[in-house]
Amino acid sequence: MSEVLIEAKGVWFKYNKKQDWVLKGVNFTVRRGEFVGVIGESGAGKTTLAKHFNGLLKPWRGEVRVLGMDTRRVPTSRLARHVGYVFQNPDSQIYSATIRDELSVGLKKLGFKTEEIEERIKWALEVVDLRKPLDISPHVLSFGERHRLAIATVLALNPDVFVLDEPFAGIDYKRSLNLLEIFRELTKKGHSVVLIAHDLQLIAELADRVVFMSQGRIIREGTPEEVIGDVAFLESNGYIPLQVSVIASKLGLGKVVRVGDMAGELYKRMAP
Amino acid sequence: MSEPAVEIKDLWFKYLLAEDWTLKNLNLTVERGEFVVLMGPSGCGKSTLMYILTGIIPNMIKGTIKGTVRVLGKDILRLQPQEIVRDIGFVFQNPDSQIIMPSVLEEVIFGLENLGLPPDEIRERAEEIIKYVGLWEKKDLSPWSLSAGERQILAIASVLALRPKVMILDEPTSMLDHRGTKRVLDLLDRLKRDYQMTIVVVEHRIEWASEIADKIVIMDKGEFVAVGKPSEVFSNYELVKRVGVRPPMISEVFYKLIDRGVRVDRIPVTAREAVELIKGRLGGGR
Amino acid sequence: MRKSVKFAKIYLSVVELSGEIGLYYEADSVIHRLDPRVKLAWFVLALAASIATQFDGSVGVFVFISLIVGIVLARLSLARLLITITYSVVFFIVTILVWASFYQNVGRPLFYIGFANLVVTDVGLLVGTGKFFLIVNPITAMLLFFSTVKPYDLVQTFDKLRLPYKAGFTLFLSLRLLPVTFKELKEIIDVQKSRGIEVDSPNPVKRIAYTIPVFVPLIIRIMSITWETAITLMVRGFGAGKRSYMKPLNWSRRDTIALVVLAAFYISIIALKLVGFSTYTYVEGWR
Repeated sequence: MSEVLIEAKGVWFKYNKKQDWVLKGVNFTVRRGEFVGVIGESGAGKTTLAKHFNGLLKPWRGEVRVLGMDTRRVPTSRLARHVGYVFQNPDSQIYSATIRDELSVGLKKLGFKTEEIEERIKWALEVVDLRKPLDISPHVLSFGERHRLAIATVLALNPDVFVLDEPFAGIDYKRSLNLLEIFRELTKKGHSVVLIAHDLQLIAELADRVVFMSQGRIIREGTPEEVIGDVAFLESNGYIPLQVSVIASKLGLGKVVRVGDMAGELYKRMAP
Repeated sequence: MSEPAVEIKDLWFKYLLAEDWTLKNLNLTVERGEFVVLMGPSGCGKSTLMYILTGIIPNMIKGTIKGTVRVLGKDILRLQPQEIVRDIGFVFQNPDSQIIMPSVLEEVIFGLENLGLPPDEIRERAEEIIKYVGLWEKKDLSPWSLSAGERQILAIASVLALRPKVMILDEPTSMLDHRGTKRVLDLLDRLKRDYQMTIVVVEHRIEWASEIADKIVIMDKGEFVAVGKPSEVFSNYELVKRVGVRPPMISEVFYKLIDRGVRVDRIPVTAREAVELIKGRLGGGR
Repeated sequence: MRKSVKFAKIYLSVVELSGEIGLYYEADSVIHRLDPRVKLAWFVLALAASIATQFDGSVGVFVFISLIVGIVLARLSLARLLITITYSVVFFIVTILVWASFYQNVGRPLFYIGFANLVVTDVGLLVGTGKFFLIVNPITAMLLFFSTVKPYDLVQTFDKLRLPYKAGFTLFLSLRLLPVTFKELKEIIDVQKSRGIEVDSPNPVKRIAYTIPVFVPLIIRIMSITWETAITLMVRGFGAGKRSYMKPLNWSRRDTIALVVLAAFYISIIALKLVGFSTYTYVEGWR
């Protein structure tokens, strides 16, 4: 099995003493090259868990290790080299006067040379398909474009693990799918991706492994078929199952979560 | 019957400092009681159209408008906001920005008081709508103690209390989890059945939309590129692919089957349709 | 503790203090039951009295005591009282030092503060305390007003008094945005830290440099929240014309009595001050 990049062991966490536990003994590992989908209702603890991966939050009990480093001992600014975090709202991030500055802030901090910075900026913008002059203000971009810019800033840092926390608000389906395909490609080059999203279809298409969280615990973990394909499980946990899963279970075709798989199943039966 | 609920004729719109037209020659008729789902990639002009239908353009945002927009026969481009809210309700993505007052009940009566209705009528309408959406037990709680889904329900209820005839919703579920989404979508479904309300909604949960929508409108680059019943629109494989809107999953499955040379008579959009269709095919094949 | 953390903690206490929305504090008390118009009058009277006594803390202190009595009667939480007093004490020392230094050569010297090389005279002390109460009294009066008037009644109070109710409402809305702003601030700090920007760096120079990555996004977020709130107000028909109220204010005899008592108290303070009365000289003369 490949190298463990992130390991959370028995993590308990709450925001302050008076409150209830938000995470109740969570065990979670991310290996090199993995694409992990995290699903669960709002308030289940998904974002809280993800913020442990780059040390924004520290466990009250248990421990989190990123490439062997204990997150309680290493500052977030150092963990940022290894864990890139894409947040929901790009406007929480963008502050520079030009697109170039916005993209190079993090790279300068990591000590890259000017030529390499330029190269990486160019690459990242190409990946997210943002073709704009580098000297214009990021604030004139549309919301969707700002969002892609925010993703590009994290891409440019080239971290080992990408944590994508509901990254597709305001990005349409075709673009989201294209972006995720790119992340999928990156996993082949040894990066790992943790995707938190409500959109089951995207997760089903791309994730190797799916984790279902509920009330601070991981209650189900497995392949997309095992978790997202389980119509009864999803419904009893407040989720709307995928249309193909519902159809497949009605037709007795087993657990199907991907459009391609469903088409394959039907082709076998319907082909002339 | 009388005039249609919404009638858009040769509508063009350009933002104040923009060079290009954001909306180009739009024409659409929405009959009373119709449920219309608007879709399109980001930046296609959906939100701009929503702003025009709700009077935010031209009252809060300026620009150049050509053409006419009539709602229940009234030219809304010439109406004052206080006249518009009596006919048209508007709800948008973020439930947190749509909460003004510190309790559920006060939130619902806020709009009614703004319209200067008599106290007894305010009380009556508020009770009716809060019970209808199922928040009566929580009427004295702070909206911030509710889940995001319930807050969005509250935002919808606060608008419904004004008794609009047309509801316009801009991605009302995009910031909600599945439970919240289900509640909001169920509420819209009930509004259609119980009150024959005219509803225009931008919504990406297309599987759901296909079950309930009378009409799907697909927008791309400021134009309507397809208008019709869900089954008609999603039968147009070429168009769906070109515009990049997300079709119902089962329609996509059938596109793939067509690609692989399977002959199909029609493309299903809902789960029920698909199960019948496939059962028929499989039964006949054996 | 790092300063940013400390700042966040103080901010948090203010937010907790203000409850989830605004400053209103739910309690069943004599003061809560008063008509909001009486409480608004109370605020205005206390403000006027503080202005009248701004050069004489020996009279201004009575205004302060009256407001503390109000806070106690309103059964506001101990935390609220403590925070008022803590900040007052800090502010008290600073104002006294500043104003006493201006009046070192006026009046009778009382004592000498070694480290500040400052002679405190009786006049200096009176002016210092007077200026202190000029600031602290209106703040305390405002705290009392907002803590005991429901946001729901706020608009109505302004409306009934034919004051611009939209202005009153704007005030309420800005208070409502406080917790939202705080939430955004926390999020932005997290986002920038995740990019390796040490917004909470122990180095103060760096921290100043990193205020931009925090405040530019914060301002943009606040602008968009404000815009969305404006849309919400429009679609709810705010400002459509004459408002009505489901729960109208009703003026009772108790309110009339309270208003008369309050007016008598503060107007006599103002009148006494106008004719040159000072508790200090009165006590001195008597002795």
